[in-house]
Amino acid sequence: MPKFLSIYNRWGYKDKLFFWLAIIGLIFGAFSFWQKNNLSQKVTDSPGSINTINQVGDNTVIDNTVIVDNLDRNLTPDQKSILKNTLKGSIEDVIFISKIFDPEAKKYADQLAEVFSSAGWNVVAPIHQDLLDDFNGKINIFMTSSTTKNTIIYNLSVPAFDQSGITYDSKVPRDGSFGGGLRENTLYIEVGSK
Amino acid sequence: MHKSAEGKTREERVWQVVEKDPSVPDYTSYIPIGNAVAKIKSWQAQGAEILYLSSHETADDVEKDRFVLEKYDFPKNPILYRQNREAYKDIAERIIPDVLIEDDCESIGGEKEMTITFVKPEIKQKIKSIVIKEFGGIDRLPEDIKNLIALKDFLTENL
Repeated sequence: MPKFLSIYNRWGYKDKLFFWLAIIGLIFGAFSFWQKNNLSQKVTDSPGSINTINQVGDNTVIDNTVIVDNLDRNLTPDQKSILKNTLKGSIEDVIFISKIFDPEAKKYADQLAEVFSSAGWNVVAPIHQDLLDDFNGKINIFMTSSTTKNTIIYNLSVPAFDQSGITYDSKVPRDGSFGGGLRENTLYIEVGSK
Repeated sequence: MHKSAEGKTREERVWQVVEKDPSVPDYTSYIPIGNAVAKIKSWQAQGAEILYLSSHETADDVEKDRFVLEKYDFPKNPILYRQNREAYKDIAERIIPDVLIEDDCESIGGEKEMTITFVKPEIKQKIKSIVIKEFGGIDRLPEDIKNLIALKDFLTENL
Protein backbone atom coordinates (compact mmCIF):
# COMPACT_ATOMS: atom_id res chain seq x y z
CA MET A 1 0.00 0.00 0.00
CA PRO A 2 1.39 3.49 -0.87
CA LYS A 3 2.71 5.36 2.16
CA PHE A 4 0.17 8.18 1.69
CA LEU A 5 -2.80 5.78 1.74
CA SER A 6 -1.55 4.10 4.86
CA ILE A 7 -1.29 7.51 6.61
CA TYR A 8 -4.72 8.49 5.25
CA ASN A 9 -6.32 5.30 6.54
CA ARG A 10 -5.03 5.98 10.03
CA TRP A 11 -6.73 9.41 10.13
CA GLY A 12 -9.94 9.83 12.05
CA TYR A 13 -13.23 11.05 10.52
CA LYS A 14 -12.57 14.73 11.34
CA ASP A 15 -9.05 14.64 9.83
CA LYS A 16 -10.40 13.14 6.61
CA LEU A 17 -13.21 15.71 6.46
CA PHE A 18 -10.76 18.57 6.97
CA PHE A 19 -8.46 17.13 4.29
CA TRP A 20 -11.21 16.99 1.66
CA LEU A 21 -12.52 20.44 2.59
CA ALA A 22 -9.01 21.82 2.11
CA ILE A 23 -8.76 20.15 -1.32
CA ILE A 24 -12.18 21.54 -2.37
CA GLY A 25 -11.19 25.00 -1.09
CA LEU A 26 -8.00 24.93 -3.16
CA ILE A 27 -9.94 23.94 -6.30
CA PHE A 28 -12.48 26.75 -5.80
CA GLY A 29 -9.73 29.26 -5.05
CA ALA A 30 -7.85 28.35 -8.22
CA PHE A 31 -11.07 28.51 -10.27
CA SER A 32 -12.02 31.94 -8.89
CA PHE A 33 -8.55 33.27 -9.62
CA TRP A 34 -8.73 31.96 -13.19
CA GLN A 35 -12.24 33.37 -13.71
CA LYS A 36 -11.27 36.81 -12.41
CA ASN A 37 -8.26 37.04 -14.68
CA ASN A 38 -10.19 35.73 -17.63
CA LEU A 39 -12.88 38.45 -17.22
CA SER A 40 -10.31 41.20 -16.85
CA GLN A 41 -8.86 40.07 -20.12
CA LYS A 42 -12.25 40.29 -21.83
CA VAL A 43 -12.92 43.81 -20.59
CA THR A 44 -9.59 45.05 -21.86
CA ASP A 45 -9.35 43.02 -25.04
CA SER A 46 -8.60 44.98 -28.14
CA PRO A 47 -8.34 43.39 -31.58
CA GLY A 48 -4.85 42.41 -32.55
CA SER A 49 -3.14 44.94 -30.33
CA ILE A 50 -1.66 45.37 -26.93
CA ASN A 51 -4.06 47.19 -24.58
CA THR A 52 -3.10 50.70 -23.63
CA ILE A 53 -3.61 51.23 -19.93
CA ASN A 54 -3.12 54.70 -18.48
CA GLN A 55 -3.73 56.11 -15.06
CA VAL A 56 -5.12 59.64 -15.21
CA GLY A 57 -5.38 60.94 -11.68
CA ASP A 58 -7.61 58.49 -9.83
CA ASN A 59 -9.08 57.20 -13.09
CA THR A 60 -8.02 54.33 -15.32
CA VAL A 61 -8.09 54.48 -19.11
CA ILE A 62 -8.01 51.17 -20.99
CA ASP A 63 -8.14 51.77 -24.73
CA ASN A 64 -11.58 53.34 -25.31
CA THR A 65 -12.85 52.76 -21.78
CA VAL A 66 -12.48 55.30 -18.99
CA ILE A 67 -13.04 53.77 -15.58
CA VAL A 68 -13.99 56.75 -13.53
CA ASP A 69 -12.96 56.37 -9.93
CA ASN A 70 -13.16 59.84 -8.54
CA LEU A 71 -13.57 62.87 -10.78
CA ASP A 72 -12.81 66.37 -9.58
CA ARG A 73 -15.71 68.50 -8.43
CA ASN A 74 -16.52 71.48 -10.59
CA LEU A 75 -19.40 73.92 -10.47
CA THR A 76 -21.30 73.86 -13.73
CA PRO A 77 -22.39 77.13 -15.35
CA ASP A 78 -25.99 76.35 -14.28
CA GLN A 79 -24.98 75.76 -10.68
CA LYS A 80 -22.99 79.00 -10.62
CA SER A 81 -25.95 80.89 -11.99
CA ILE A 82 -28.46 79.37 -9.54
CA LEU A 83 -26.14 79.92 -6.57
CA LYS A 84 -25.44 83.50 -7.55
CA ASN A 85 -29.11 84.37 -7.98
CA THR A 86 -30.24 82.61 -4.81
CA LEU A 87 -27.49 84.02 -2.63
CA LYS A 88 -28.11 87.62 -3.68
CA GLY A 89 -30.84 88.03 -1.05
CA SER A 90 -28.35 88.58 1.74
CA ILE A 91 -24.81 89.90 1.82
CA GLU A 92 -22.82 88.58 4.74
CA ASP A 93 -19.46 87.15 5.75
CA VAL A 94 -18.40 83.70 4.65
CA ILE A 95 -15.24 81.75 5.41
CA PHE A 96 -14.03 78.76 3.39
CA ILE A 97 -11.85 76.01 4.80
CA SER A 98 -10.51 73.31 2.50
CA LYS A 99 -8.90 69.97 3.24
CA ILE A 100 -5.25 70.10 4.14
CA PHE A 101 -2.81 69.11 1.35
CA ASP A 102 -5.68 68.67 -1.11
CA PRO A 103 -5.46 70.85 -4.23
CA GLU A 104 -8.78 69.53 -5.58
CA ALA A 105 -10.62 70.63 -2.43
CA LYS A 106 -8.91 74.02 -2.63
CA LYS A 107 -9.88 74.38 -6.29
CA TYR A 108 -13.52 73.58 -5.49
CA ALA A 109 -13.49 75.99 -2.53
CA ASP A 110 -12.09 78.66 -4.87
CA GLN A 111 -15.01 78.11 -7.27
CA LEU A 112 -17.54 78.37 -4.46
CA ALA A 113 -15.84 81.45 -3.05
CA GLU A 114 -15.94 83.11 -6.45
CA VAL A 115 -19.70 82.56 -6.69
CA PHE A 116 -20.35 83.89 -3.19
CA SER A 117 -18.18 86.88 -4.00
CA SER A 118 -20.04 87.54 -7.26
CA ALA A 119 -23.33 87.41 -5.31
CA GLY A 120 -22.00 90.21 -3.14
CA TRP A 121 -20.92 88.26 -0.06
CA ASN A 122 -17.79 89.20 1.82
CA VAL A 123 -15.49 86.21 1.36
CA VAL A 124 -13.02 86.48 4.22
CA ALA A 125 -9.63 85.77 2.62
CA PRO A 126 -7.60 83.70 2.44
CA ILE A 127 -9.18 80.28 2.04
CA HIS A 128 -7.89 78.24 4.98
CA GLN A 129 -6.25 75.00 3.91
CA ASP A 130 -5.98 73.20 7.19
CA LEU A 131 -9.17 71.14 7.44
CA LEU A 132 -8.60 67.65 8.81
CA ASP A 133 -12.09 66.19 8.34
CA ASP A 134 -14.00 64.83 5.34
CA PHE A 135 -17.71 64.70 4.54
CA ASN A 136 -17.95 61.86 2.01
CA GLY A 137 -17.23 64.18 -0.89
CA LYS A 138 -19.77 66.73 0.31
CA ILE A 139 -19.27 70.17 1.79
CA ASN A 140 -20.21 71.08 5.35
CA ILE A 141 -22.06 74.30 6.17
CA PHE A 142 -22.41 75.80 9.62
CA MET A 143 -22.86 79.17 11.33
CA THR A 144 -21.09 80.48 14.37
CA SER A 145 -24.13 81.73 16.24
CA SER A 146 -27.84 81.16 16.26
CA THR A 147 -29.38 84.60 16.50
CA THR A 148 -32.45 85.27 14.39
CA LYS A 149 -30.37 87.12 11.83
CA ASN A 150 -27.91 84.30 11.46
CA THR A 151 -30.65 81.75 11.12
CA ILE A 152 -31.95 83.77 8.19
CA ILE A 153 -28.53 83.78 6.53
CA TYR A 154 -28.22 80.05 7.08
CA ASN A 155 -31.69 79.38 5.77
CA LEU A 156 -30.84 81.38 2.69
CA SER A 157 -27.59 79.63 1.86
CA VAL A 158 -28.87 76.11 2.38
CA PRO A 159 -31.69 76.37 -0.22
CA ALA A 160 -29.13 77.83 -2.62
CA PHE A 161 -27.19 74.59 -2.40
CA ASP A 162 -30.38 72.53 -2.55
CA GLN A 163 -31.53 74.25 -5.71
CA SER A 164 -28.18 73.93 -7.41
CA GLY A 165 -27.98 70.22 -6.61
CA ILE A 166 -24.90 70.49 -4.41
CA THR A 167 -24.97 67.95 -1.62
CA TYR A 168 -23.90 69.11 1.81
CA ASP A 169 -23.77 68.22 5.47
CA SER A 170 -24.71 70.61 8.21
CA LYS A 171 -22.73 69.50 11.22
CA VAL A 172 -21.15 71.34 14.11
CA PRO A 173 -17.40 71.23 13.40
CA ARG A 174 -15.35 68.78 15.40
CA ASP A 175 -13.08 70.47 17.96
CA GLY A 176 -9.59 70.84 16.54
CA SER A 177 -10.63 69.87 13.00
CA PHE A 178 -9.07 73.11 11.71
CA GLY A 179 -6.74 75.75 13.08
CA GLY A 180 -7.56 79.10 14.68
CA GLY A 181 -10.68 80.37 16.38
CA LEU A 182 -14.15 80.91 15.03
CA ARG A 183 -15.30 84.30 13.85
CA GLU A 184 -18.69 85.40 15.14
CA ASN A 185 -21.73 85.80 12.90
CA THR A 186 -20.12 84.12 9.96
CA LEU A 187 -21.16 81.36 7.60
CA TYR A 188 -18.49 78.66 7.37
CA ILE A 189 -18.16 76.32 4.42
CA GLU A 190 -15.85 73.36 4.83
CA VAL A 191 -14.68 71.52 1.72
CA GLY A 192 -13.35 68.07 2.51
CA SER A 193 -11.78 65.69 0.03
CA LYS A 194 -13.77 64.56 -3.01
CA MET B 1 -31.50 54.10 -7.29
CA HIS B 2 -33.67 52.46 -4.62
CA LYS B 3 -35.51 54.81 -2.26
CA SER B 4 -33.81 53.81 0.99
CA ALA B 5 -30.42 54.76 -0.49
CA GLU B 6 -31.27 58.43 -0.09
CA GLY B 7 -28.88 60.15 2.32
CA LYS B 8 -26.58 57.12 2.50
CA THR B 9 -22.96 56.98 1.38
CA ARG B 10 -22.15 55.18 -1.84
CA GLU B 11 -20.67 52.27 0.08
CA GLU B 12 -23.79 51.99 2.24
CA ARG B 13 -25.95 51.93 -0.89
CA VAL B 14 -23.93 49.07 -2.34
CA TRP B 15 -24.25 47.20 0.94
CA GLN B 16 -28.04 47.70 0.94
CA VAL B 17 -28.23 45.86 -2.38
CA VAL B 18 -25.93 43.10 -1.21
CA GLU B 19 -28.07 42.73 1.92
CA LYS B 20 -31.28 42.73 -0.16
CA ASP B 21 -32.87 45.86 1.29
CA PRO B 22 -36.68 45.68 0.81
CA SER B 23 -36.75 48.87 -1.29
CA VAL B 24 -34.39 47.43 -3.93
CA PRO B 25 -37.09 45.48 -5.86
CA ASP B 26 -39.62 48.31 -5.47
CA TYR B 27 -38.82 49.82 -8.86
CA THR B 28 -41.57 52.43 -8.97
CA SER B 29 -40.14 54.09 -5.85
CA TYR B 30 -36.70 54.59 -7.37
CA ILE B 31 -35.14 58.06 -7.21
CA PRO B 32 -32.46 59.85 -9.27
CA ILE B 33 -28.92 60.03 -7.91
CA GLY B 34 -27.82 63.60 -7.23
CA ASN B 35 -28.41 66.00 -10.07
CA ALA B 36 -28.69 63.39 -12.83
CA VAL B 37 -31.78 64.94 -14.41
CA ALA B 38 -30.09 68.30 -14.95
CA LYS B 39 -26.96 66.67 -16.35
CA ILE B 40 -28.88 64.59 -18.89
CA LYS B 41 -31.03 67.56 -19.88
CA SER B 42 -27.88 69.57 -20.41
CA TRP B 43 -26.31 66.90 -22.65
CA GLN B 44 -29.53 66.65 -24.62
CA ALA B 45 -29.73 70.43 -25.00
CA GLN B 46 -26.26 70.34 -26.52
CA GLY B 47 -27.50 67.96 -29.20
CA ALA B 48 -26.83 64.54 -27.71
CA GLU B 49 -29.37 61.84 -28.50
CA ILE B 50 -30.02 60.05 -25.22
CA LEU B 51 -31.06 56.38 -25.04
CA TYR B 52 -31.77 54.68 -21.73
CA LEU B 53 -30.80 51.03 -21.25
CA SER B 54 -32.90 49.29 -18.62
CA SER B 55 -31.83 46.35 -16.52
CA HIS B 56 -35.31 44.91 -16.89
CA GLU B 57 -36.37 42.29 -19.41
CA THR B 58 -40.14 42.69 -19.63
CA ALA B 59 -42.29 45.50 -21.00
CA ASP B 60 -44.18 45.70 -17.69
CA ASP B 61 -41.04 46.30 -15.68
CA VAL B 62 -39.73 48.78 -18.23
CA GLU B 63 -42.97 50.72 -17.74
CA LYS B 64 -41.93 51.12 -14.10
CA ASP B 65 -38.68 52.67 -15.30
CA ARG B 66 -40.64 54.97 -17.60
CA PHE B 67 -42.86 55.99 -14.69
CA VAL B 68 -39.85 56.96 -12.58
CA LEU B 69 -38.14 58.79 -15.44
CA GLU B 70 -41.29 60.82 -16.10
CA LYS B 71 -41.93 61.44 -12.42
CA TYR B 72 -38.53 63.08 -12.02
CA ASP B 73 -38.67 64.89 -15.36
CA PHE B 74 -35.89 63.05 -17.14
CA PRO B 75 -35.97 63.90 -20.87
CA LYS B 76 -38.38 61.62 -22.71
CA ASN B 77 -36.33 59.22 -24.79
CA PRO B 78 -36.51 55.56 -25.80
CA ILE B 79 -35.83 52.95 -23.13
CA LEU B 80 -34.02 49.94 -24.55
CA TYR B 81 -34.19 46.58 -22.84
CA ARG B 82 -33.18 42.99 -23.39
CA GLN B 83 -35.74 40.80 -25.15
CA ASN B 84 -35.72 37.17 -26.26
CA ARG B 85 -32.73 36.19 -24.14
CA GLU B 86 -30.61 39.06 -25.42
CA ALA B 87 -27.58 40.24 -23.46
CA TYR B 88 -26.73 43.89 -22.85
CA LYS B 89 -23.87 43.59 -25.34
CA ASP B 90 -26.31 42.58 -28.10
CA ILE B 91 -28.09 45.92 -27.69
CA ALA B 92 -24.82 47.85 -27.55
CA GLU B 93 -23.55 46.08 -30.65
CA ARG B 94 -26.79 46.88 -32.47
CA ILE B 95 -26.91 50.54 -31.47
CA ILE B 96 -23.16 51.27 -31.38
CA PRO B 97 -23.53 54.43 -29.29
CA ASP B 98 -20.85 57.12 -29.45
CA VAL B 99 -20.71 57.08 -25.66
CA LEU B 100 -21.82 54.29 -23.33
CA ILE B 101 -22.13 55.24 -19.67
CA GLU B 102 -22.70 52.43 -17.20
CA ASP B 103 -21.79 51.66 -13.63
CA ASP B 104 -19.31 49.08 -12.44
CA CYS B 105 -22.06 46.73 -11.07
CA GLU B 106 -20.15 46.44 -7.80
CA SER B 107 -23.11 45.10 -5.82
CA ILE B 108 -24.05 42.36 -8.29
CA GLY B 109 -20.74 40.95 -9.41
CA GLY B 110 -18.67 43.60 -11.19
CA GLU B 111 -17.46 43.54 -14.75
CA LYS B 112 -19.10 40.24 -15.70
CA GLU B 113 -22.46 42.05 -15.30
CA MET B 114 -21.43 45.08 -17.34
CA THR B 115 -22.27 45.79 -20.96
CA ILE B 116 -18.92 46.82 -22.38
CA THR B 117 -17.19 43.70 -21.06
CA PHE B 118 -18.65 41.43 -23.70
CA VAL B 119 -18.95 43.81 -26.67
CA LYS B 120 -16.99 42.55 -29.67
CA PRO B 121 -13.53 44.17 -29.80
CA GLU B 122 -14.07 45.61 -33.28
CA ILE B 123 -17.25 47.36 -32.07
CA LYS B 124 -15.78 48.23 -28.69
CA GLN B 125 -13.23 50.45 -30.33
CA LYS B 126 -16.04 52.53 -31.89
CA ILE B 127 -17.65 53.22 -28.51
CA LYS B 128 -16.33 55.64 -25.90
CA SER B 129 -17.07 53.66 -22.79
CA ILE B 130 -17.36 55.40 -19.42
CA VAL B 131 -17.57 53.24 -16.33
CA ILE B 132 -18.67 55.02 -13.18
CA LYS B 133 -18.89 53.80 -9.61
CA GLU B 134 -22.21 52.16 -8.80
CA PHE B 135 -24.48 54.66 -6.98
CA GLY B 136 -21.85 57.37 -7.51
CA GLY B 137 -24.06 59.20 -9.99
CA ILE B 138 -23.09 61.23 -13.04
CA ASP B 139 -22.87 64.66 -11.42
CA ARG B 140 -19.12 64.86 -11.81
CA LEU B 141 -19.04 63.84 -15.45
CA PRO B 142 -18.28 66.79 -17.73
CA GLU B 143 -21.16 69.13 -18.53
CA ASP B 144 -19.83 69.78 -22.01
CA ILE B 145 -20.48 66.79 -24.29
CA LYS B 146 -17.29 67.49 -26.20
CA ASN B 147 -15.41 66.84 -22.97
CA LEU B 148 -17.56 63.79 -22.27
CA ILE B 149 -16.71 62.26 -25.65
CA ALA B 150 -13.03 63.06 -25.17
CA LEU B 151 -13.05 62.26 -21.47
CA LYS B 152 -9.52 60.88 -21.43
CA ASP B 153 -8.10 64.10 -22.87
CA PHE B 154 -10.32 66.18 -20.57
CA LEU B 155 -9.03 64.32 -17.51
CA THR B 156 -5.44 64.69 -18.63
CA GLU B 157 -5.84 68.43 -19.23
CA ASN B 158 -7.44 68.92 -15.83
CA LEU B 159 -4.88 67.03 -13.79
